[in-house]
Amino acid sequence: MGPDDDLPTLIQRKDHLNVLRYIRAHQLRKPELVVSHGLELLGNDLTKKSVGGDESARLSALEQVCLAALDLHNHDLADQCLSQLKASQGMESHRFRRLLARCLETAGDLDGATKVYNEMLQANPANLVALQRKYAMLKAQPNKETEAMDALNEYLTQNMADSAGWYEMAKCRMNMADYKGAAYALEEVILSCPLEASLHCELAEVYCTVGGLENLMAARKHMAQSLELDPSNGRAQFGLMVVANAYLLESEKSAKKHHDEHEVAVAKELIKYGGDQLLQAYKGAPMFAAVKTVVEEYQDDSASNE
Amino acid sequence: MAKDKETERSVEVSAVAAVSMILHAVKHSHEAVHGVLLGSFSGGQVKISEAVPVCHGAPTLPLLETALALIKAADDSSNSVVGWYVSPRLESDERPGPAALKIVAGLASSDDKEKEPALVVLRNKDLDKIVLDNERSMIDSFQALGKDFGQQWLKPLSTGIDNEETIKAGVKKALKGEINIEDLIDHFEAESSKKSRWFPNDSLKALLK
Repeated sequence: MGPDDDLPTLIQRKDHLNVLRYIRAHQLRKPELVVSHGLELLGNDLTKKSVGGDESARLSALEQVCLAALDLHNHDLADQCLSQLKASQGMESHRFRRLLARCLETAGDLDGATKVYNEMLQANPANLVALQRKYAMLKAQPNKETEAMDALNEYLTQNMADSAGWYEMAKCRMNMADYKGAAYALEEVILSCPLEASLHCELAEVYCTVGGLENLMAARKHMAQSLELDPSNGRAQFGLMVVANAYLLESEKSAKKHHDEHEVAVAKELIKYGGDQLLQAYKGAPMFAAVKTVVEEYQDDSASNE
Repeated sequence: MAKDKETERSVEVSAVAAVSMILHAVKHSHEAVHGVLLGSFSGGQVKISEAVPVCHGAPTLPLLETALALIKAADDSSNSVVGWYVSPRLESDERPGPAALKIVAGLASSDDKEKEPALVVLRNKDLDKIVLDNERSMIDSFQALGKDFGQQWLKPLSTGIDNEETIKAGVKKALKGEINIEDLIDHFEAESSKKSRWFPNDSLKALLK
């Protein structure tokens, strides 16, 4: 496979081994392609021995075809792949046991799969794949939200730098209406991706949902940061008006010692700014009239608080 | 249609609302979807005339506030907000979830029992088979919930749907690409978002005529 070879070229050339390598290297999800090229490479009964003259290439191809077969719910093909791998590597191979557990998951035998993962974790408590799969199995079952969060917590304890894991935790927490926990998790995600506008917007929305003067201040800052990073973000434009307005309402209700005139003035300016951005963005659009009504309501409310 | 004898409350879901909820769930099949229900209260009956998709994933206060403000500004009918709908993430899950329960409790603005909002759960199990099979009834695909003695929206209410044939035909047409449903997040994320109308969805009503 040359450096300029793309997938269509490899498919056209019927370079089955490199098609599989390309898909693996680029982490593409194309199970039908993997199965069709895998069967061409390994034979319909998966017994062809010479695959690029390399046994490890053959085993990698078998593993890849097995996972693709599971994706397509082709249990027979997955079983065939497992048998070939077992004959070559034996039951004690970790990669084999991982695949076996995946096959058990797809077959619906979650207890069996959990048993295999627990054995893997006993041998190596930092086995991240086993921890991930345990969480994934719990997430796929109803009424197991708390156990799923515990499993994800265990994974994150071992792998604190995984921002995708923290984002997953944020989503879990939000689904359980635990917005405080979601805010904590999103803060961890933002540490890894501080320039992602959508994350700042989501975090701002979560802080606004939690409420309280301090959280609304944080919401304002993150919403403003989101707009700074992506000025065309309509969700953040509306969001800025909403969170700034929420800050004004909370500030009115709060004790005098918490009332900061400067911050109130900033909130009013943010409402005006968000509204002006929206009117510009929706000019000539079908929803302009409705957006204008909403903007005028927010801006009139903030002006009447003077 | 049978009425709940104790409270005499019942819910009727129009074809437009039903199709909107189903298409929203199909579009975001890997996440829970949420939306606002519009309609009217009449005696002990909640008549749902429209379902407005709001979000996929968990809703937040700013999204909810934005959605309600835009609906109020754009709706020139006599409809009012009569409830909230949710389609759970998992096929086998029929519970509304804590987020939907909090929202519907927040929508209940008065002590008037007759104007109590309803929470509608779209049951996903076998929904594809039910919609595509003219012999199967959709009656159990929607479950309305009302406030129970514990002040939670977990009490099943008598739920009826209007014109199953129209709903199934509408969903089939929509799945062939004749119509696109977008929630508020889709509207914000689409490249040409400012050019499309999130609400009202006149093309859906036209499709079902």
